[in-house]
Amino acid sequence: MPIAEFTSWGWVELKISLGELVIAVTTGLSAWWVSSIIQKRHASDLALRDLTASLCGDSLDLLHSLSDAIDSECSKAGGPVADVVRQKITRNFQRLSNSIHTIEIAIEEAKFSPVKTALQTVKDEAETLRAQVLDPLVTNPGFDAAQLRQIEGTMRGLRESIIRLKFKVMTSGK
Amino acid sequence: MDPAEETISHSIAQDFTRTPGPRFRSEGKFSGEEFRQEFLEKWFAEARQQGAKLFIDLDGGYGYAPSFIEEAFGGLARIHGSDAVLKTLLLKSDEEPYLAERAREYIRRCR
Repeated sequence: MPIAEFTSWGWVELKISLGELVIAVTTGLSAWWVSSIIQKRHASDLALRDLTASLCGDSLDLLHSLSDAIDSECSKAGGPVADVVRQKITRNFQRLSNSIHTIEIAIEEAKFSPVKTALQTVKDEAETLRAQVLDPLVTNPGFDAAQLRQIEGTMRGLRESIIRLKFKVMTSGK
Repeated sequence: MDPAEETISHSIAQDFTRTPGPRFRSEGKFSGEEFRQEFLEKWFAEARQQGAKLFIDLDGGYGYAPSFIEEAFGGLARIHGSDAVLKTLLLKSDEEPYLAERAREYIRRCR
């Protein structure tokens, strides 16, 4: 039995029963609920991507600082590196290493599994750089021109792999 | 880790040096080889004898050359096998987490 009958306009006649009204309201509420969940998830997903991309930006900045430290302190004179410079470079490398570790934590927390291969490339490049920079500092004959060129090449590779990781974080699905 | 299992703890900075050096003794002071031969192998043997875990703290120093870490921990795995070393050894580096991860990687590579 209809609970409401609307006036007919010509051949159009509107009737709604209690059951139909309940179904319509329930459907509307469900749609609103699902839509709000999707919006919240989308906003949260975007926030996680922004955060991870910003952490990639931090790593690029720290790589730049490391590069500056090596350039300014090690390439002008050649020969053994002063203790204070060794400590500065070691500390700069530690900061870079820890910033990549922070990216890894963010990726794990956000469950961005498709970027894991790109992250592993970044880690591998960083470990190559670690050996090229920190091993000679311990025996300390200083860096010669060939070593500095090699370090520069590895830094370029690391920079590019961080940028690739950043783009992947921004564009890949989960 | 079994909470009931005994753990023997050591710190490289406190027990050996705060300024770890190169890979080999011939390259300079406080080398990875010296650390392994004079300290790590003894600690490892003691831990295995007691059926305990050996916990090594990597924090507190001026920083490590990768060759020091490889010679110390990879070198231990070359002598005793990586499975035995991984089963007994626990490594910690809060100052730089990838350092401990790298040391574990050197041990695994000796398989």
